[in-house]
Amino acid sequence: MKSKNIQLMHVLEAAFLPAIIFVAWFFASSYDVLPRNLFPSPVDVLSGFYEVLNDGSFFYNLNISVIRVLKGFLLGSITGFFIGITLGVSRFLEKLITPIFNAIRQVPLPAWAPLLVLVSLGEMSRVLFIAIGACYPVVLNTFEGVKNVRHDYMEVGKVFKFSKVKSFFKIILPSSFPATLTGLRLSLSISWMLVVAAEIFMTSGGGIGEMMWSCREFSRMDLVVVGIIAIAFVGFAMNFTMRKLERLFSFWRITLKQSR
Amino acid sequence: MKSTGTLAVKNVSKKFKSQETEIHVLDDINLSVKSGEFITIVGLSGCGKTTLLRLIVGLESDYAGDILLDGRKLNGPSLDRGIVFQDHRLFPWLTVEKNVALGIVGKTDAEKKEIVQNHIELVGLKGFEKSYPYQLSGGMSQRAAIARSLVNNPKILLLDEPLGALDALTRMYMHKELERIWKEESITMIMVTHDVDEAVYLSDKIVVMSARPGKLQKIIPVPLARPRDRASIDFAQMKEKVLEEFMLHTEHNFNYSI
Amino acid sequence: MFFIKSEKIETVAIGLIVPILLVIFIEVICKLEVVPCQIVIPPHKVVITFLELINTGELSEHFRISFSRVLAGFVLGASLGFITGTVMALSKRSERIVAPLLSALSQVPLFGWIPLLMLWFGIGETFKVVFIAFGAFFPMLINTFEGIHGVSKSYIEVARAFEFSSVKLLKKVLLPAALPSLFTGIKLALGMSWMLVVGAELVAAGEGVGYLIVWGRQLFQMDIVFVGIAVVGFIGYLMFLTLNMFESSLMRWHRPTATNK
Repeated sequence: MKSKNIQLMHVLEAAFLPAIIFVAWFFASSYDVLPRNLFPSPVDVLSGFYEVLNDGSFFYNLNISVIRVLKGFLLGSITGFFIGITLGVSRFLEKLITPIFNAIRQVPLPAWAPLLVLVSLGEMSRVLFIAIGACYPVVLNTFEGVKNVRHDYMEVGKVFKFSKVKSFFKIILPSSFPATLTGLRLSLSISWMLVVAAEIFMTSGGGIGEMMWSCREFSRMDLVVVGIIAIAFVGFAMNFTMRKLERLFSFWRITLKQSR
Repeated sequence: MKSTGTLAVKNVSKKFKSQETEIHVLDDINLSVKSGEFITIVGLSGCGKTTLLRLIVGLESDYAGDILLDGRKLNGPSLDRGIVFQDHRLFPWLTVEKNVALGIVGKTDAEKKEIVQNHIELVGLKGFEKSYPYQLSGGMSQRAAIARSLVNNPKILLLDEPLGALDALTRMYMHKELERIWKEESITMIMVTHDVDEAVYLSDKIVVMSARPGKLQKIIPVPLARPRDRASIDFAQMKEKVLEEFMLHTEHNFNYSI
Repeated sequence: MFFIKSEKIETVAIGLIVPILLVIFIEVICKLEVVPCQIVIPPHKVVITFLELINTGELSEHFRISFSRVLAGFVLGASLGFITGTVMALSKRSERIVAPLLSALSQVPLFGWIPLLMLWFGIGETFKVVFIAFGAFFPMLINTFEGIHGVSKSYIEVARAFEFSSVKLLKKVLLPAALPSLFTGIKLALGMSWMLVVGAELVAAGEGVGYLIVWGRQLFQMDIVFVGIAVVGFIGYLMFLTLNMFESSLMRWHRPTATNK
């Protein structure tokens, strides 16, 4: 156990840098050392936040973004799950589909945006954009999870004369579930990143990314900062929740590692 | 009455192909096991004893010769032959009772519950029904694995070095347990081990195998009364008999028997 | 030997089935005018446009510009990430001071920085390079930190027993042992950089392969869009392959474990 003094020291060290930056930021903008419109003071940011809370645009836009990300995430991860399972279970399908899947995966995600705008599906374009990015981690992790099911367990199934279907539901699925959860966590994280991108690359759908984009056009830096803090916060909350879920369902796997 | 199995292994040979070479794992094995017998197969690592076991349980195929269970040829794994692996292979995501219930087929839920409960008590794990494998010790996990293998009343139980992963003291407790379970279930048991002490303690017959290629070296009957006394001279002499097959016995200037 | 070769050929052959069928399918439905050929571009048209763009030199020009941006941003971001990661791994104190801030910053989804950075740096080269550097910084930082931090205590103890100086320890033990992680970091950072350069070029004016895609969209010329997408994907793939080759030649001693690929 750390002594009280050392604990206090650690807390101070952790707060040191943020505190200095905060104070410097405050003074710099108070005394107009830096242009107010490019470096809003903390006060500016707070008042900006109050402003968008009041006129309702903050939660309105946040709502749109969150719903959008959930749509894209669900679409992409469910598709990805089925693809991953299929590839893991059938060697033939793996050989058939993997090359083209890998080829498509090479394309950096933003590149899909103009294409999706061109086929002008409106909101669906944005959701698809997110779904494409959401799908990859789930495919990869689920595939790994299914492929890595321990041969030993499958032999137990053989000895008890499990049918292929029974083996799949009783051995492969539970055994690969933790890997799938990891894939889902990564997928949600990417989805949230892509929602902002979608709103910037494919505007006119509302959302917090678009709010930040138009604030930039009007040089409302304070609101841009509000947006940044908001998306960081939501992203963190999502990640935190997913990690907890992951831990919950993988309890047997984590401790398995420890006992070895 | 429980049905137990007789096993006849006739002229069984097996080769493994790898890249260029062919490894002769088993060479002309002949073995017969009577109903209700406890036999152990003893040999050095690599002598093919595990392969022989896997052939009998049906996890490996493609061999020359015949293996007959109660006079019928084998056709892959089946519920009349159970196996206990060296690494218990309990499913870590299931509780003990769910694990034990794994192999049960064609019973109602109430029947299942009863069978599971009986077997958990049989192996001495009462009270641990809802525990997960990671919460159990090695010995307890192995007991759960034994319970799992017995739920379908197999005619023959195969055990592949089941106690290898346990410490020496736990192993001795498990010897007593295995003997007790064997008596209660009246089941034929075939166990692979490299622990001579264990073999002499538990078996009716000891099958000695030599390595590369795996051949049957000798079958040694163990006519000692049960429960066996590790401290007795008969026990020690039996051990020496087995060790002699491996040239590990101690040379004596004279022999005597009482 | 023969037996193994035919299995490999079989794998490759099966892998080609879908792409070939797809190409044939699209060509056919275009010929039969089942779908408007403005939207669904027949593959042969994409190839023609591709060759045209190479001929006029436009493609190589766009590529050169994008690539130089990526290089600049990647070098900037990854080296900063590497230095920071190393310092943080070596000094527990600096880790405690810097980690909270960096953790907070890393929570911001990368594309969220675009409005802010654009206001600060405009829409020119500076913005793009800084944005890319941002993307390259974090993966490199994390992997460098974990790589050095995770060097087995056993190796460090050997170095101590031989009285290695700190510099020697870093050079001869920590960095080589952390090399696999460093390479993972480089791959991630480079992949991120390539993705961000395309993103940046979509929203800010100027040449580049990302801009090429947008330009194609503005002209409603899907073939240009597809050429852009294919080129961008292919270059990313080449970078990845090159890095892998480099990595395996540099790390012949490394035994792949279940945790790295």
